[in-house]
Amino acid sequence: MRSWILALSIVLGLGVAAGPSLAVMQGQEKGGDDYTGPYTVVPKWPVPSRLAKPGRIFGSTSGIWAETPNRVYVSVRGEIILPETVNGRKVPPNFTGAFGALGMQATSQVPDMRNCILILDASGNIVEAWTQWDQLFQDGRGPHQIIMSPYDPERAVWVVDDMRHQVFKFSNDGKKLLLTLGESGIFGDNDDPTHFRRPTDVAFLADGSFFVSDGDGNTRVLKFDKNGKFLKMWGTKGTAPGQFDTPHAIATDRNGRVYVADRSNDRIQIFDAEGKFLDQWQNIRNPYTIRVSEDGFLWVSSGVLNEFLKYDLNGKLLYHWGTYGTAPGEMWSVHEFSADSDGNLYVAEVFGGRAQKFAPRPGADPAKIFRQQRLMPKNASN
Amino acid sequence: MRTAVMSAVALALALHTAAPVEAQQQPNFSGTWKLMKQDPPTTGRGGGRGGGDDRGALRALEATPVTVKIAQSGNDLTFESTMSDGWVRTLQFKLDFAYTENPLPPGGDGGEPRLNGATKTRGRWMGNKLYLHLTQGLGQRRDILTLNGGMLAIQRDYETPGGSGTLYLTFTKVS
Repeated sequence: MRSWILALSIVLGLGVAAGPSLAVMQGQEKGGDDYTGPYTVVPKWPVPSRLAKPGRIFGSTSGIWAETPNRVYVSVRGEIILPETVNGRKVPPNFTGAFGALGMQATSQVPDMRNCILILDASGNIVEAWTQWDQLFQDGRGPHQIIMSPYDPERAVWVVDDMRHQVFKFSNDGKKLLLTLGESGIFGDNDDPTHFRRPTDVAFLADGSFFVSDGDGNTRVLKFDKNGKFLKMWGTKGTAPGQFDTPHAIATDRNGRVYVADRSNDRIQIFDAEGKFLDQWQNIRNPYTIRVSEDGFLWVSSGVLNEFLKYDLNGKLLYHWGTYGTAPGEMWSVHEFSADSDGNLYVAEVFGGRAQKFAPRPGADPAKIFRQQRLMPKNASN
Repeated sequence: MRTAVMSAVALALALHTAAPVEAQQQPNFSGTWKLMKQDPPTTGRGGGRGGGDDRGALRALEATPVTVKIAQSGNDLTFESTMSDGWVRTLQFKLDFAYTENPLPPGGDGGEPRLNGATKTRGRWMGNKLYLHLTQGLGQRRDILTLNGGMLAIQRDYETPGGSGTLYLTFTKVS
């Protein structure tokens, strides 16, 4: 009797243990290494383009911002020379792949500043090229980031140019330059409120005020009112709380907290809207870009890990995915990322020299999908 | 008495007005200057021609001359730098902030292709400090020149895609 009960328990136990696994196995594809996380890469996005001059190719891709699934802004650091050979092998003159696929960083040349701001549709076609503004980036290395404020019904487009030390605000259609901060080609020191030294990113508050991380040269954050009037700044060079070493990205949450990717200090620092230090999360290697999601999490792209990392707003690491490489779905230093309202993820690879689009897998865990902060409805007049 | 007080006030006002004008007077940096001090010490071009990485880019822009020869006249300034290995570079500046394009001599990029190309220069006064700006490929440099007790002080800030830095150089006049 005892052995019969034991046998029954084992069978029941196995049933309980094996039941769900078997059920999962029956509906699951076999194999796979999940290197694109909860997404699948969208092939041929962008559609290969011949927009670059003959003998040239798009260079470093620095920024990307999805206003809608059908209007994705991409900032490109101009065009660079397509080599005739790489490691003794001939490169086809009509090569339209990414520069990184040749095994070289897309930042390795002095670029020709053409086609620096592009707009792509859902299929990856280039539908606009704001060539009217290319001259702004001459003598520099092109845009550093491109972004919109989630609180702006006009949907103005902000572009940061680190090597020319300027921040630009364009009308949504690209016809007007609405605001310029900084002086072209002139850098300022850490105590100079009118000149940047290689600014890196912009983040916004609901009242229209905004922050600039400054940057690759200086070690501070500046706050401006909605009209671009300087309000305050904080930060010096160092490793103590409130100090920075390459503040490379900045983001805000809905409560007005300010998150700064303190890149060379391998950490995220958190401040209130007036610059009061609140917290720091350490041991986050080379945070290139940070964005707070609509559902209240901080997402980080690590330039050296080539991974996305998801943190709750107390700094707890919840999830990460990503793999280095130049094949579709792999990444080489994501410099900015964005997501549209359908959950598609877009990445700009600064060394890979390309943009990629990832679509959520059917049935993907929603907790693993980056949800960009929702934009205010666009003004009807636009 | 009243006249004396008014005169004193007028004199004080005149002196008050004159003092800042004198402080803001733009110095003339012309002469040959010998490097006395460099902070921090580096291995600039004087120590070698640099490599092809970002450190090479930094070396090319931070290049520390052992002597500089400056000719300043009105709106024009010529800045000739001689490095410890005898390499000479001459840059022309307009001091009204207009650009001058200078050819890049052999070796001027420090072996860094991203610093290859003509050098654009321009200068302007900020009070009695002279700001000399230089853009070369993706590199930039800013020299801030001041005269201090007969010594020429240059704060040299540079930026490249791979990094940035500051040097403080002090020169004494030799002719």
